[in-house]
Amino acid sequence: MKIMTHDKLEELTKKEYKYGFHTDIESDSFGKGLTEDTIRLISEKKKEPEFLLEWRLRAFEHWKTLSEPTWQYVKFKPVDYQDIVYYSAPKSQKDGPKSLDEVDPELRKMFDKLGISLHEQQRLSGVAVDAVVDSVSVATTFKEKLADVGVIFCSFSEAVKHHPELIKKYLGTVVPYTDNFFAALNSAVFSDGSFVYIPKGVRCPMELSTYFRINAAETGQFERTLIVAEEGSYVSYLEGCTAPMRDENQLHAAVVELVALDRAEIKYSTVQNWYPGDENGKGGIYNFVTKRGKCKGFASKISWTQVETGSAITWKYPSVILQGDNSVGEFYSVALTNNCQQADTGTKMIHLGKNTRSTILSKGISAGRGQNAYRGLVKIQKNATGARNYTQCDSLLLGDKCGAHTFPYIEAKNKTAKVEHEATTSKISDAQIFYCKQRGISEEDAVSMIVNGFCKDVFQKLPMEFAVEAQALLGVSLEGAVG
Amino acid sequence: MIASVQNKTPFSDAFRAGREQLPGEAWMRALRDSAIGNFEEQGIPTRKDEEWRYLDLKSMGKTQYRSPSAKPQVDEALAKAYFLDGTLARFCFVDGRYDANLSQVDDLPAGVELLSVAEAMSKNESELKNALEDSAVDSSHPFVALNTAFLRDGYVLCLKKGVQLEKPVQILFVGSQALENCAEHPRHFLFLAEEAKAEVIECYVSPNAGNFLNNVVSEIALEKGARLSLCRVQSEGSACSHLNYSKVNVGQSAHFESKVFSFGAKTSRNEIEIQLSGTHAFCSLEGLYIGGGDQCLDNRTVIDHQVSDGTSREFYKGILGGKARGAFSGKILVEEGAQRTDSEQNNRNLLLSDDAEADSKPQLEIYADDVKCSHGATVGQLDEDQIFYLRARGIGEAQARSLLTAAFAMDLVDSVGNENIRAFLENQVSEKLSQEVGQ
Repeated sequence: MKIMTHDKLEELTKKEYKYGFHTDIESDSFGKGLTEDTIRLISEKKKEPEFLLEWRLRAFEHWKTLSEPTWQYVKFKPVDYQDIVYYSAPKSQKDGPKSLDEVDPELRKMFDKLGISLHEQQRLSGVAVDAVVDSVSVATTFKEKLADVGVIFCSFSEAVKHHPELIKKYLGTVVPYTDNFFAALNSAVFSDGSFVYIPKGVRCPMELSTYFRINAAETGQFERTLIVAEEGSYVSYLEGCTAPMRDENQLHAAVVELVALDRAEIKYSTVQNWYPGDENGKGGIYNFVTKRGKCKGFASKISWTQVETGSAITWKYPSVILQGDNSVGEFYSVALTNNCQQADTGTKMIHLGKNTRSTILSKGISAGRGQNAYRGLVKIQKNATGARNYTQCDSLLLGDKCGAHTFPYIEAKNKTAKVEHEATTSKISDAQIFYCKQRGISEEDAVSMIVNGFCKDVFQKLPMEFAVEAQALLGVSLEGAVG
Repeated sequence: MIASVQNKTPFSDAFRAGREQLPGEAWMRALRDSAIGNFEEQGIPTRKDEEWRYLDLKSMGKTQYRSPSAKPQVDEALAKAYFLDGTLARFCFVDGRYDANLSQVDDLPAGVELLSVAEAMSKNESELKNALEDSAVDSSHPFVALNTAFLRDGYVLCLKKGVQLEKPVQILFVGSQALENCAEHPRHFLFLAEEAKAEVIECYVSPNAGNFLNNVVSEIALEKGARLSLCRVQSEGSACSHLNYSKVNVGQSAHFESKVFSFGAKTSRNEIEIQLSGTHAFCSLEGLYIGGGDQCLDNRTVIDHQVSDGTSREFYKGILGGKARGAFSGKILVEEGAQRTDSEQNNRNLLLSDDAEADSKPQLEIYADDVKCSHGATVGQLDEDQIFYLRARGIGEAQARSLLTAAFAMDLVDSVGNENIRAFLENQVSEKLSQEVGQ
C-alpha cells in the first residue's frame, strides 16, 4: 500500500500548474528600481491629489528606515527591491473601457482560459467582477446596479478621483504605513486595487468579487483594498487569484483594510492559487500580505475566510481589531503546502471592547516538502471585560518530508476573559484509506474525501460560488500529494 | 587574559574582581573566561528577544551583584522547617555553599555518588572537567554562560547501572538575609546509568532574603531504561530573581518526570529542555505557578523528539492574582524520522484579579507524519455555575472560591506518589494560595 502510494505521489506531483501561461499584452511599464522619483511618477501617472502623494512619500521615507523582518518561519532568497518594476499597466487601457466590448480581446481570452469569463460570471452567478490585471482595473461590471443602492465598488484609482474624501478619511487607519516593512512598501508604491463603500443600512445586493493576476514578468504587484461598511450595512467580498508560470520569483505585497462601523458586517473571502513554483521550489510567488479589519462600531462583525493553495511562500495574518463593544471577529483558513511551498499564516484577534468575541479555525495541510505554520495572537486587553475566544488549529501531514507547525500566542489581561486554544496534528491513517477502498472508493478519491472532510468547517463559511471552486482547487492541488 | 568586553554587564566587574578567588585550576579559569565573554556578547536578554518576551529583567541590569560570603550565617530553624521526612539522604546548601552539618548522606547505598560540586572540583576533577567541557547545555543561553563563569557549588548525583533508590533524595537550598545584592550560580549534575532509578526533590527557600539572584543550571542524563522523578519547589523571597535552567537527555526507554512548583521570587523563570534521544523514551513535565503582588513567573519548556516512538506529556497550570504575570511557553519539536511520536501539551490559567495577566505560547513544530500531537491552552476564571452550586449548599462565596481554586491547583499535587512529598507540597500550595486568594 505504501509503495503504491509513493508511485501515485510521483505520478501526480508532476501534474503541471494548470494556469501557467503568459498572455502577451503590450505593457506600459517603468524601468526597474525604487526611488522617490518612481513614486512621484506613479502618483503623476494616476493623476493623484496632493495628499496621497505626500502620504506615499512619508511611507517611503519610513520604509527606508526599516529592514525586512526575520522572525517568520519561511526561508527565501533576499528580495532586491531595486530589481522590481513598480508600475505596469496594460496599454490598451488608456481611455478606459466603458463596457465589456471595449476590453482588450487578449485580456478577455486570458480570463476565458482561467475560467472566469466575465460573461459567464455575469450571466450565471450574478457576481460583479472588478478584474485587476497588472495593477490597473480593466473592467468593472454591475456598477450601475450597485450604484442604485448607493454602493461604491470601483478601482482604487477611480475612488481616489471620485471620492477623495472617503480615501482621505479611511486610508491607513487600519494598517498605517508604519505597520510593517511590506505595508510601508505598499503604501509608497501601491498601483491600484479595489475600493468598496457600503452606505448606512444597505445590504449589498450581490457578492463583490475581484480577480488579481500578476501578468507581466518581474512586476511586483502592490494592491491596496479598502472596504468601508457604514452603520448597519453588510457586504460579502470575494478575492481570487491565479498567476502565470514564471521562473523569477515575484513579490506580491498587498494591503487590505476593512472598516466596520456600528452593526456592520464584512465578510471577506479569499481563494489564493498563485503559481507555487515547480517541484524543486524554483519560481513561484512571494505572497507577503497585510490584511486587517477594524470592528470600529458597536456589534460590528468582520469575518475572514481564506483558502491558500498557491504561492511559493504565503506569509499573511488577516487580523481583526475588536474595538467596538460586542463586536465579533472570525478567521477561517485552509492552507495547503505541497512540494517546496512554505506558508506562515494565521491571525491576530485584538480584543479591546467589552463582550467581544472571536473564533479562529485553521486547517493546515502539508504534503511533499511543504512547510506549513500557523501563527496567531489572541490578545485580551485590560478593558475587554467578558471577551471570549475559541481557537482550533488542526494540521494534516501527508508524507514524511513535510512539516506542520503551530505558534499560537495568548495574552490575557482581563480576569473575565475566556480564551481557549486547541491544536492537533495527525495524518490520514491507513485504516481510513482501507475503509474507503474496501467500499470501492479509489485511493485518490478517498484522500480527497478525507481532506475535504477535514476542511469542511472552513468551506462551509465560503460563499457558494467559491466553495465549489475551493473544493475543486484543493482536489487539484492535492492530487500530487496523496500519501 | 580576558577577551575584550563587548557589553559591560552588572556582572562584569564582579567577575573581574573575584576571578582569582573562584575555585578551579587553569582549565576551569579558561572556561570561565570564555563563558563571561560569551555572556557579555549576548547581554541580559530584553523583552524584544522572542524567548524572553514575557519576562522583564530590566531591574537585573541595575544591580551590581556580589558573590555571597564564604562563611554564611546558618539559620538552622529555617532550614529544619523544610526538612522532609522519610528521605534517603539530604543535601543542604546555605547561601549557595554546601553545609555538611545540615546534610545527611550516611545511608546512601553502594553505587550511589552524591557530592557537592566544590568537592568534585578537587576529588573528581577530571570527571567534572569532562562534564563541563562537553557540556550538553547550550552556551547560546546567556544565563548558562553566566553560570559557567561563576559556578562554585551545586550537587552531583550519580547512580551506577541498575541501582534503584527506594526513598527520595532531598536537595535544600536555603538563602539568608546576607544574600542582599548577591548572585549565586549553582550547577547540578544528575547522571543515571542503565536501569537506575531515583527520586529527587529540590527546594529553594529564602523567605527573609532581599534582592538577590539565584541562577541554577542542571545537566541531567538518563541512560537506557533509567527512571528519574524530579520535583522542584521554588519558594524564594519576594524580592529576588530565580532562574532555573535544565537540560535533560532521556535515553532509550528511559523515563523522566518533572514537577515544578513556582511560588516565590519577584522574577522567576523555569526552563526545561528535553531531548528524547533514544527510542521509546518518555517524559512528563508538570508545573504549577501561583503568583500575586507584582510577581512574574515565567515557564519555558522544549521537548525535542529526536527519534521514533517517544512519548511526552506536559501539563502546566497557573493561578494569578494581584498584578502578577504568569507565562508559559512550550515547544514540542518532532524531528524528521521521529515517527509514532505521541505528545500532549496543556496549559491552563486562572486569573483571580483585574490586574493579573496570563500569557501562553504553546508551540508544535513537526517534521514527521506518523505522529499524534495535540496541545491546548486556556485562560479563564472560576465557573460561576460551580460557585452557585456550592453557595446553594450553604458555602459562603469566599470559601467557595478558595475551594474551587484549591481544587484547580491540587490535581498536580495529588499525582505525587511519595506520601511525604505529597504532604509537603499540599502544605506549600495551601500556604501560597491562602496568601493570594485568602482562605
